[in-house]
Amino acid sequence: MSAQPAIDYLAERHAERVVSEPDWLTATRKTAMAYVAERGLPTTRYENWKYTNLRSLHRKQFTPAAAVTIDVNDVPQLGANGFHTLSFVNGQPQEIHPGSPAQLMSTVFERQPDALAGRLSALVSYESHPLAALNTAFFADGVVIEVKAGQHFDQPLLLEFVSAPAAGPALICPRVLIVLEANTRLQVIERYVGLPDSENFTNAVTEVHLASGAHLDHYRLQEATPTDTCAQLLAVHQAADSRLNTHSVDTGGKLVRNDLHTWLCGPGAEAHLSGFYMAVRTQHVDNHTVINHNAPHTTSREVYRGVLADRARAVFNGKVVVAKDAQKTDARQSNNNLILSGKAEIDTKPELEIFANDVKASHGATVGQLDDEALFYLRTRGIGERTARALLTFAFADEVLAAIEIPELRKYVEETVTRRLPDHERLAKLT
Amino acid sequence: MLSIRNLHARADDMEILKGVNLEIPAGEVHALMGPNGSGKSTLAQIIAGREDFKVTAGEVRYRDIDLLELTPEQRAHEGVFLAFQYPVEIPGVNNVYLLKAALNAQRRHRGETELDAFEFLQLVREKMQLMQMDESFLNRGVNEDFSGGEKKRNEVLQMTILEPTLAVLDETDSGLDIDALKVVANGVNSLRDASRSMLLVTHYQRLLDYIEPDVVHVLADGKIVRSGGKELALELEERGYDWLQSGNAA
Ligand SMILES: Nc1ncnc2c1ncn2[C@@H]1O[C@H](COP(=O)(O)OP(=O)(O)O)[C@@H](O)[C@H]1O
Ligand SMILES: [Mg+2]
Repeated sequence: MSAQPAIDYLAERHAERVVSEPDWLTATRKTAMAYVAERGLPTTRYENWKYTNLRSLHRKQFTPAAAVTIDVNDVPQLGANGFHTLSFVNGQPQEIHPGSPAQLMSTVFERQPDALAGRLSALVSYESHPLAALNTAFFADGVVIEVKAGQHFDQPLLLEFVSAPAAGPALICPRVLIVLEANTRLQVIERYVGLPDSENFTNAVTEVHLASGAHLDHYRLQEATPTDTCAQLLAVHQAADSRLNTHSVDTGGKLVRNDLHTWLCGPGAEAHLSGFYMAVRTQHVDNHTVINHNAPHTTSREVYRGVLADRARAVFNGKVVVAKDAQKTDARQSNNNLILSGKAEIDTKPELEIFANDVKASHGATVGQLDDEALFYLRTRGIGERTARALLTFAFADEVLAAIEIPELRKYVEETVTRRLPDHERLAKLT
Repeated sequence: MLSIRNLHARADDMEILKGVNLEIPAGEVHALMGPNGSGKSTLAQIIAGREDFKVTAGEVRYRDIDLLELTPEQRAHEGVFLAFQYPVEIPGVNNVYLLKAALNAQRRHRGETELDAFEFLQLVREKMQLMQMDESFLNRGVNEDFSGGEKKRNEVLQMTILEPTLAVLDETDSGLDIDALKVVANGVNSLRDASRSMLLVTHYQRLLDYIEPDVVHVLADGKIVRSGGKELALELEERGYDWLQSGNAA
């Protein structure tokens, strides 16, 4: 895919489908396409891609995702009538319901061609996030979520991106833009889910602008099939007193790469990042986060936990940058990993770059196994070894999952994680 | 009920138990005393099934079972219970969840039906009252941020719910004030009957004021060096252990 012919092929297929677009977007896409043509996909020679190798993608001839018809009943339901839901299947939007805070990008381009000019892609640097160029060049339709000052949406918005088997491997580029005006609040769930036997590459970009006092709860739930590749960039700009809560859960996918980058640009801004990843067999999950404290009195909390079994591999890289003027920054980060097999591997690396002098910053990373004392204690109470292991593993995970504030979602995620534990039938009976 | 013969055990390169002999008939309560490091907790943990210790000789029989052949969970199902000297904190596992899991595992093993939610809660409430524990403990992580005394009470709570046939209590009295001691003793005494045996590991005579033992043993340097009636505990309180050890060495 790094070669020009592959790009030309993608571009032609893309052009056949996109009928009309504002000129500014065509120009933006051209720049992105030129970047991809020149640089291709990131390789392990890039500092931020040292441990994640996209080589397996090069061998595949990806086609821009085309419409496929699926039976929605094949997608495990996130049992939520209380959500505003908008689904995409291989990049194609399904029905959009009235009253939703979401609009399709194609609709916005049609009605107000210039509404998103200067906004879309404003937070994306291809140098830092090369895959975002691929998304910008080829995304088909996307979602715009705008909450105007004074608007309220009590129900969470669920964006579902389904990856389904297509004629060949499909490149799916979900694109989301979220703009919260001053003092508004929204809960958004992005769910990446797949049907068996797909071999697609979902490469998503979500940009978020939080005005002063705005509050976004962002949930990212990735449960793709074990043959899919998934990447996402979540880029957030935060004004004064805004609050970002992110919850990232990865249980699926073959090769997964998440980039989360937030800029705290006004005093009082806070970012609370929590993440959980569980990888088994040969799954590979990479989380790269960057928090830029660009203003004084800003706060960040980051807690990521991972469970790795078999030959799975995970990467955690958490970077915190405190600018010279960002005095009184308070930044804490932790990454804890539970390794269930001698062959699983984790590369965890905190990076602190502090240019201010009056700052509280801490980080800690652990890699460990199940606590033998706890295991023995449970067994002396009559709980079988496998069940005890599952119970302790779940307890480890649940310390992050408990931060999920939407009850149905928390339940769903806990069940998803439980199903992947040995002896889970017995655990489920106890809850 | 419990019959330990010539038990030798080691951890790493160190021999800890050097030929322990101990018989506890059904219905009896025995106290096990002895200096720090003499091997009391090692013995207690071997009875419960700890695999860190290697048994190099001897046997442990419980009823007609070779206990050393069983996993810790199988021993629990057979009615063996250990109240830990240092109960383990398990954040993320609810206390009530553990109680339910433990009780149901035991009932399944015995071919009994599992208690429904209502029956279970009733039982737990009753026992918590006995142990004078607040119900808020139920939804906290197992022993998580419990005080020393609360952890000990929680061990006895589990015991009163599981109703073991053989209970080993490892320094359950240590660190308790006199009121808590009475509560714990009360919980233990509530289980005393002709079909149950208990081994109380303790340093203090005062526990034995509330739970009267049938026999007192002294473990020193991996061996039982003296056994006697409850008056032996009083003598130890006065004279310490030195006279026994030197007597033994001579
Ligand atoms: N897991 C272990 N590995 C190595 N040595 C141990 C272990 N557990 C206990 N010991 C040693 O065995 C001896 C007896 O310990 P313990 O049974 O805890 O004594 P007590 O309970 O009588 O105070 C001590 O010297 C202790 O350090
Ligand atoms: Mg001890």
